[in-house]
Amino acid sequence: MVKPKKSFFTAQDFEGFVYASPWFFGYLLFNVAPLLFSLVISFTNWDGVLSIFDNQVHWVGLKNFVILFTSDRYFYKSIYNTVYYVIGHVPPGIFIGILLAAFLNQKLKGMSIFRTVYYLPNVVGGVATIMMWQQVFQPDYGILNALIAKFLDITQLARVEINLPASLRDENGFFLSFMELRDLGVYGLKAPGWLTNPYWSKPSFLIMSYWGAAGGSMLIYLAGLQAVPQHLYEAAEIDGASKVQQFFHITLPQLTPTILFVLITGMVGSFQIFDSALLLTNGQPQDTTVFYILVIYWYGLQSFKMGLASAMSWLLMAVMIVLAIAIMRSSFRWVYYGDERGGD
Amino acid sequence: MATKEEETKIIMARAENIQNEKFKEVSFWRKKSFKKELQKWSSYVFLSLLAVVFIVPFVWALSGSFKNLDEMYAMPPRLLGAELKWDNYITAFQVLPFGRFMFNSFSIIILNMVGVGVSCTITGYAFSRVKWKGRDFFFYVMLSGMMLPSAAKMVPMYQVMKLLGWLDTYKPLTIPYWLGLNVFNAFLMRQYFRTIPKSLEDAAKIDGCSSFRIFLEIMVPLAKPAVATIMILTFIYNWQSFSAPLVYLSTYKKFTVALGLRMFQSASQNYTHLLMAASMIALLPVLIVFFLGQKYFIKGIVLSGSKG
Repeated sequence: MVKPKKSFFTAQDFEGFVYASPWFFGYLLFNVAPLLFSLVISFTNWDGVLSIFDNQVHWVGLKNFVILFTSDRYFYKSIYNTVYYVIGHVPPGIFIGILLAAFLNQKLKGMSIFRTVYYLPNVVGGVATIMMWQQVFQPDYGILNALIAKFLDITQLARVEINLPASLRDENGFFLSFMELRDLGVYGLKAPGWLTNPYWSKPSFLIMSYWGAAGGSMLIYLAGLQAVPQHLYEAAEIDGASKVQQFFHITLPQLTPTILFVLITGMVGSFQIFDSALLLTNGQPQDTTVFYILVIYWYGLQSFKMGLASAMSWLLMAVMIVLAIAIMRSSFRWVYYGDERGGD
Repeated sequence: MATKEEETKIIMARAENIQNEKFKEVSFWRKKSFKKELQKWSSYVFLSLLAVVFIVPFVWALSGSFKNLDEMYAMPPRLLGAELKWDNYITAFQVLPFGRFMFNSFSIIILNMVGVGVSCTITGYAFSRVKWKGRDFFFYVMLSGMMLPSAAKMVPMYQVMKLLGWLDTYKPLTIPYWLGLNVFNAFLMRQYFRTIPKSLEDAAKIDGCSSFRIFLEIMVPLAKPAVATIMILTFIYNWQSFSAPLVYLSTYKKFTVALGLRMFQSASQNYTHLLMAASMIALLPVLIVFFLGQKYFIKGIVLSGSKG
């Protein structure tokens, strides 16, 4: 059959465009437009309240970026806190997820109940669970410290002052031991202050994050575990491999694509910690929970420094893109796609 | 002529027999069956302890919701006060217009669920069943949108919304869902559509079906389970959504449940016990939807992680 005319756009192309048009429109409006707009704003001194056509709003070039890198109070702190959180959350999270999935992959009764219990925090999450954890973390009357006090035999939960006795030596001239000092009331073993203590504040957030994210990643690992071909295990067992060896040489390599997925999504997600920081501590104590998005929120919506907020947003996006590409590049070395063709 | 699998099984059974024979005279504690039982029970113990740890925050908040303020501050902390204070739940609705907040949340969510169902189906179909120029290219563009953290776009989106004049309305919270911007859900639909055999389409074409009718009358009905999945996912995601309403809404009558809970916290008086009660109430709809839709939910997660 001879086609009389060869057209560049077939009917199918047109059809595809039509079907994809809502997405196109939404993408332009809600992905491209914000990025471009905020890039422009980051070079201005807009405060977020006045109309952008006001006379006071004008171009300032790289001034916002310079401020961030030199004189801003929160910029470097927020980067440190956020990176701390990401590193503290992602690797242990992966470990916990795989561990749970390995346990739940056994064909025992009741596994689905456990699966539900572990996944529940991820599902119901949000403000309600954050408020719950606030009560759990209460140093004076929360359940966490109550349990610690009970099991570690600590008699006082509240902050204890240090009272130095008249002399640190007893009547024979020997130094008092720790126990004797404690009995004298020099110091009291106290349970941690959690969200009120500068050293425990970020670990508290990390604890919450494990609780919330373990279930989600566990499900994904479970799906990955179940996709591992059984004949590999059988062949290994005939060759005399122990369970541990099987795990490290069969299970883990087969899981690497799943781990890659969880790694990237987990990293992107944990860089965005904001809700719990705003609700629980708002940066305190002593700026230890000042996270990057929190600072963006402060500058953009509370302090009328839209230019700075835009600059910070753009920096974050640039870093995320670079990181994601770096991880994808490195993944070719350690991700094993097995027999199947990898990727889309 | 046994197949390879059967051969393997025979060899393994023989190996196990030999192993068991060797250990027949060995003590009970070294038997393979005992080790298996031990492994099973230690798994149960570990999983149960961990499950208890996971439930503790819920239990603690539940107990707090039944106390009055003094009992909450009691030292050492107790599980329950003198009596169950059910009034906390009623007072929570009186102190703040919590019922209004729930109504707002439900309205937004229902709009979004419908929007997602419609737009993600169309988008998923566009990227899987129709061959058009640039389809793969734009698919990667869509995927890359997933990489960009949504919180990093929080302020830029706010700026765009301010420019559009959509601040303090529900528009920024719902319109994105109607335009298929929910990349994860569109991705799910695409994966799902790819599993439908092409023969159905071809058969319909032979019968002279226009391609739009193919979409409406074949693809859409087949896609019902996937649509149910993404609608449930949307419900659950939107119910907990906090930063989006926080940024866009400023009239407190328009607040959602998430913002309403925060208002308890920042109120002038100490309403901690009411906050606990309200939190419990806030958890209920999500729990119900989750338990009812668990089947779809898990399928959705599995579908998203599957290769190709």
